[in-house]
Amino acid sequence: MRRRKKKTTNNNDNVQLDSRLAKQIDESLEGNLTVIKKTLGDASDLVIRRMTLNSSNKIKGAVLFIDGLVDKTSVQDFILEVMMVEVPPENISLAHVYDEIKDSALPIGEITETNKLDDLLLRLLSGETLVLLDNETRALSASTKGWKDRGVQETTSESVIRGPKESFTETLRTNTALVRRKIKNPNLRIDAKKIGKVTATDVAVLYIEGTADESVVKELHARLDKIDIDGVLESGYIEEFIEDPPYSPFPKVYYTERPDSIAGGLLEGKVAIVTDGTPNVLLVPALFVNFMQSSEDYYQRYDIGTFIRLLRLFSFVIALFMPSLYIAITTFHQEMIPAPLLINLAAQREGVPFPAFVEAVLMEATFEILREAGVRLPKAVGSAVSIVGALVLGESAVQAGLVSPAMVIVVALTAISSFVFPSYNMAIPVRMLRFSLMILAATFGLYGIILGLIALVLHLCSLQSFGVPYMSPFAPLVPKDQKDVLVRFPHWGLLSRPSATAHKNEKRTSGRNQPKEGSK
Amino acid sequence: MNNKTISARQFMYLVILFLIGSSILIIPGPLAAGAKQDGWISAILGTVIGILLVHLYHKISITIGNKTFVEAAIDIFGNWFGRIISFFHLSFIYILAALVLRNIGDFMTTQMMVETPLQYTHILFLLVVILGARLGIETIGRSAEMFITWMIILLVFLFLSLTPQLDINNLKPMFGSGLRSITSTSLTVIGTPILEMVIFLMIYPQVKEKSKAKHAWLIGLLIGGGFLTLITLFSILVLGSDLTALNEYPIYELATKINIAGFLEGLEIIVAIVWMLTIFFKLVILYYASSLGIAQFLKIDDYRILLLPLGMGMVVLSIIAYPDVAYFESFVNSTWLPYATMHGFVLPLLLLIGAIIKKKKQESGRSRK
Repeated sequence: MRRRKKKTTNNNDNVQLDSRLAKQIDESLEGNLTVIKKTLGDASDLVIRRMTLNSSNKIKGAVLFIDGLVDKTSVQDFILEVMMVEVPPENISLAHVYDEIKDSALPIGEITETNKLDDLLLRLLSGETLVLLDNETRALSASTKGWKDRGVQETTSESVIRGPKESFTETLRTNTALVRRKIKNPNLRIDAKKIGKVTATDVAVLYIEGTADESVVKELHARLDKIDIDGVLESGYIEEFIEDPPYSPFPKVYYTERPDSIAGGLLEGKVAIVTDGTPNVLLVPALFVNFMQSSEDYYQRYDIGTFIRLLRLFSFVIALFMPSLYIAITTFHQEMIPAPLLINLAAQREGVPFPAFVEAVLMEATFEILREAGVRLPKAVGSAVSIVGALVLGESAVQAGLVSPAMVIVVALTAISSFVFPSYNMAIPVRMLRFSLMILAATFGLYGIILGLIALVLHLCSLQSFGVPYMSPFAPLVPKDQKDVLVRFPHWGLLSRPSATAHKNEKRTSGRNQPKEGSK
Repeated sequence: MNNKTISARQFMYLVILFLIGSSILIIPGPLAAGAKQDGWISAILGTVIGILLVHLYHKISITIGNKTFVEAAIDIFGNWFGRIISFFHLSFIYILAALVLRNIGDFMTTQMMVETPLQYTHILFLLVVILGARLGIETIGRSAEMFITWMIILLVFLFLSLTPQLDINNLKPMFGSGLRSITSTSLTVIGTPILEMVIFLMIYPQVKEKSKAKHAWLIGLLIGGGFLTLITLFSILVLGSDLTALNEYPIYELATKINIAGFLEGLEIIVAIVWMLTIFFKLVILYYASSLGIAQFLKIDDYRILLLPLGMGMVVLSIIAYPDVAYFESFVNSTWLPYATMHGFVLPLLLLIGAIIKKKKQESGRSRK
C-alpha cells in the first residue's frame, strides 16, 4: 500500500515537469530563453550568446550551449562566426533567414530541427548547441558534442598476451566506433535508446542483421523499453533488469571491455548493449560456456587454446569442490586416503583445536577478506596486504597451531583456481556456492557433496538466457557445436557458427580450406 | 498443463539411467544366487524379453494418443473404473519410488555414513528430487544429458581397472546351471528394472519426436540392459558366483579390490557416485510421474503443489516399508515379480484392449452415421 502511494507521488512530479516543458517553442525569443533559464535554475554552465544577425533587418537570435559539454572551437568557428559575420546576406527577407541558416549556412554535419521545448532541452544537456531566432517557432540543434574523455587505453581487467590491447571507454560513440571498425559490414545495426528518467543515459543495441536471432533482438528491445528507473550509471543497472530469472547466482549476461570479444559475439549472432558512461559492454544471450572462454583462445594456436580451456574447466571444479572434498574425506571417508598420507594428515592435525570444517571456513573467510582488501586498496598498499596474507596468516597460523598445513594448501589452491576464469562474474557464484557445499560436506560427507552437485546441475539446466538454454550446447546436446566449447578446432575447421545463437545464418566458411601440405 | 517436451535422445538417456539406477547394486546378487555362474545370461535374456515389452508399451502409447496412462484410463474406462485402474498404477509408482528411496538410504547408512540416521539421508535426497521434479521434465532431461557422459566414463574406468583381476574360470561351466534355472532367474531382471519401465507411459506424451521415440526406447533398453549384464558378468568374473550371491552390494565389494600402482585405492566411491546419480534419475522420474499422475487423477492444474506433501508421505512410507534388509530380500524374491507383472503387464494390456475396443466402436459409430 505504502509503495503504491509513493509511486503515484513520483508520477505527479514527472507530470508537473512535463507540463512545463511539453510546450511548443514560443514566438518570442526572450520568452523561450526565460523558460530555458528558469528550467535549468540559472545554471552557471549555461552559456547564452545573444546576437543581432542582420544589421538592416535587426533579426534577433541566440546561441545556447552548456560549457564543458561542447567542443568550443567548433562552436566558435562554425556557428558563432558564421552567424555573426557571414550570414545572412543583406537583402534576405525576414521569413527566409531561418531556412537560409538551416540549409546553407551552418557547416556542421548533424543538424536537427525541433519545435518542442523538452526535446530542445534534452539536446542542450546532451552537449548540442541550440540556435534560436526571434519570431520563429522552430529551433535548430547542432551536434557539437565534445568533452574530455579518457581516450582508448589498454584494457586493465582482461589483459591478453596476444591480441588487441585496446579497450572500451566511457563514451558511447567511441565504443560503437570501435566495434564498427572491426566489423565493416552494412548489416551491423546500431539502435539508439535513452534509459533512465533523470539521467537519460544513451544506450545502443548492436547486432548483425541476418545473423542475430530476430526474436532475441525484439525481446531485448521490449525488456529495455520496460525499464523504469531514475538513473543508469553503469551497465550493471541494465543487466539486472534484462536478466532472465533474477534469483540465480550465475551470470546470464556477459560483459566485457574488449571490443574484439564483442565483435566475436556479434559474429556468433549475439546482441551487444553499449551503455554511455561505462566501458563495460553487455552481450546477450550469454551461455555458461561463454564465461569459460577468452578471446585469446582464438588468437593463440588451437592446441594451446584447447588445453587452456580444459584447464579452466578443471580449475572451475577445483575452485568449487576442493575445500568441501577435503572436509568430507578427512571427516567421513578416511578409508579413501592411502595409509601413509592419512598418517601424515593425522599428525598435522594433531595440535589443531578445530574440526576440519571450522578450520576451512576460517581460512576461506580470511582469504575472502584479504582479496576484497586487495581489490580496493591503492597499488602501493596492496603489496602490504599480500605480505600480511602470505606471511602472517599462512605461515604463522600454521605455526600457532590454528590450522594444519594441508588446509593452507587446499585454500591456496582453491583461491588460485578461482582466478583462472576469464570472467570475473563467473567467479562470484563459485565463491558463494563453495561455502554452502562446505556445509553440506561437513554434515553429510560425500553424499552431501554429490547431492549438492546434482542440485547445482539441475539449477543450471533450468536456466535460460533470452530463450537459449544456459547449458547448451551440452544440454540440450548439439554435437556439431562441440568443436568450439571444451576444445577449439583450428579456424579452418570452425565451419559453422554456434546454432544456439546463430541458427539463422550458420555457415561461417564456404567449405574445406584446410592448408595442404607441400602446396605452393 | 505442462507442455514442456524432451527430445528422443534425452528420453533414451532417461531410460538408460532408469534401468541402471538401483539395479546396478542389487541385481548381481540374486542373479548369481539363482543361476550361479550363468547369471549374466539371465540378464541378457531379461533384456531380450524387455524388447517385447517396449513394443507393447509403444503400441499402447500410439493407441491412446497423446495421453498419459492416467488420462487415458479415465478416458477409456470412465470416471470410476478408470480411476480405480489409475489408482493402482499410481500406487505402484509411488510405492516403487519409496522403495528406491529406501535402497539409497540402506546403502548409505550401512556402507558410507554409518552414524547418520536413515530419515535424514532420505530427507536430504528427497529435497533434491523435489527440486528436480519441480523444475520439470525438460530440466530433468537436460541434466541427464549432462551426467550420462560422466556416468559412462566412470563405469568404463571401473571396468578397465578391474581387468587384471578377471578370472575366466569363474564362468565355467557355461550353461552348467541348466536352462530352466537361467530362465527362471531372468524373471528377477524382468521384475526389477524391466517391468518398471511401465512408468514411462506417464512421460511418453512429452517426448518430442514420436517417430524416433520407440527407437530411442529400444536403444536405451539395450544399453541399460548391456550395462546390467556387464556388471553381473564382472561381479561373477572377479568374485565368483558364490561371493557375488552372498554380498549385499557385490559391485561395491568389487570396487574395493581395485588397486592401481599402489596409490589409487578406495575406488568404491566411484560406484557410490554412479549409483547416486543413476538412482537420483530413477527416483526423480518416478516422483515426477507419480505427482503428475496424481494431479491428473485429482484434476489439479499444477502438479507442483503436490510435491511437498507427497514427499512427506514418501519419507514415512520409505521407512515403514520394510523392517530390515532380510525382509526386503524375501519381498523382492517372492512378492515383487507378481506385483510388478500385475502393474507392468496386465494393467497396460487391459488399457490397450480397452483402447482398441473403444476405437473400433468409435469407427463403427462414425461409419454408421
